[in-house]
Amino acid sequence: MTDAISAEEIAVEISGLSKWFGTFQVLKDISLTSHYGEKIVICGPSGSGKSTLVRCINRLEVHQQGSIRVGGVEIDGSRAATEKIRAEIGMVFQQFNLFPHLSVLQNLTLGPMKTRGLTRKAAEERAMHYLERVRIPEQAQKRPAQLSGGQQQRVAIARSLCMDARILLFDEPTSALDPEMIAEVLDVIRDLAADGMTMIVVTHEMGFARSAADRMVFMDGGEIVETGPTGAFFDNPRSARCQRFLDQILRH
Amino acid sequence: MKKLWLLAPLLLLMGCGGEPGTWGWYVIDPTTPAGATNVRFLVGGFWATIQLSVLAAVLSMALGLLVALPGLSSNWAVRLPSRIYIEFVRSIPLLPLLFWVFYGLPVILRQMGYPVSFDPFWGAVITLAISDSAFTAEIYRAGIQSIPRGQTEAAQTIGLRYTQTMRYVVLPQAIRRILPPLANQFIYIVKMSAFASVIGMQELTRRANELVVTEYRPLEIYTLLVLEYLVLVLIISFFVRWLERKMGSDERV
Repeated sequence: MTDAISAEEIAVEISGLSKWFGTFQVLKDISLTSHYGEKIVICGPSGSGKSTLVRCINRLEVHQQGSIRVGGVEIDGSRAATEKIRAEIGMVFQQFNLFPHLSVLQNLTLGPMKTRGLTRKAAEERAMHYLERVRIPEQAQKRPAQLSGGQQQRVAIARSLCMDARILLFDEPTSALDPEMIAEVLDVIRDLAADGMTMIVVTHEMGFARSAADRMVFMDGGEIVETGPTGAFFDNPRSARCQRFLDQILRH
Repeated sequence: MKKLWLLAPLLLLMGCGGEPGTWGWYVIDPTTPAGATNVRFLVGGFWATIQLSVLAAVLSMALGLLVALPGLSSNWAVRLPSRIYIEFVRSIPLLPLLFWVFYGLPVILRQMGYPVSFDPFWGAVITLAISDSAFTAEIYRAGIQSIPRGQTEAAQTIGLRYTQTMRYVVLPQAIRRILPPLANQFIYIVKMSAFASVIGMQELTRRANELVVTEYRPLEIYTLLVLEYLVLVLIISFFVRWLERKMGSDERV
């Protein structure tokens, strides 16, 4: 990392984070700092705790040890803190999680109208703006079930953009997609990255990671095994575990 | 062979008539003046049964939701009262509950300094609503739990609070799944409203009982009573089907 980036404002600061599901420790003493504008990709075998880590950042999971600060606000379990950090963070899920009983447009306007106090007209204008951004304005009146998986995921991305989030979390955004739809979603994410959005992305798409990430994080067994600038990470990984993982995933 | 089986209940009916081997349909024969009066008297209970059932159903749906929501909390201390209420209330037979509410509750309230008494109508409405709320609460719980967790999580990430998440995201989806069992429960209320006759409410069953006492023709009169409930239940069924179609089309487009 260059000094120019590290000197910038800190977006997410995780230190000494541990979490248990029952007696099983999913996260072990995780420390990770992300700056505004930075794109971090987290990879690792399944069950390594990547998703749990990302879900802790917006309090979808409760951590038991350590601290997480988002935009300077510590997630301490209080309602005020949780509301504050959720206003700062948008999230895109593996299963899209669009609201099936609402139209695409209503999916996008619900949050701004109910939590940001926008009028219907303003919320719809904003929604159409972001639908154009993800290149599906013509689907606004349809229901999610009428769209392809790739289109649904792009709507989900637009939904979090409508909330004016400064940080976007992606939890395996292309893992539930048919192969031919992965590219259209990754293209949208890449565009956002190019525009300077702060991102933390959990993904197995290493081609995407190489082209979009500033920094790579490799997790295994609940801990961060290796982290480094994208180029160095792919070209000469230091740890044996990381090497093995990259070999397996890049072979095909 | 099958047709012979159809005759079996008929034989039973004939055997049980007022005089052995004869039917006494004259008691509810609308072409005779006496029969017409009887039918008018019996049918006159419709309105009371409808009012009673609808009010009790609406109250039990509201009460059931209030009981169900804390039951879904991740905090056991919040969950516990809901659980106790459901287990306790749904195990009380309707008749004792009716007596507690109608006779017992006014006594307790009077001792506490609130001199109130219920008329049979409100006694029955409250009893049915309480008894049924335990069942509707379980229906709500099942319906809400059937909505994938991701829906709540997505709602949280766009900043919705708990009540907003329920109102705009979870309940609109759950209601489609809840509707059929809720309709079932409503039909159950309609039939259980017959218990109100015990405390003297002039609904369908009470009127049938009163007529039986003067006419000594229980079989014919109760047969009409069955038909009366059948009409009510069929109306509910058609209404719910219509409602389901309307809502179902909403989701699947």
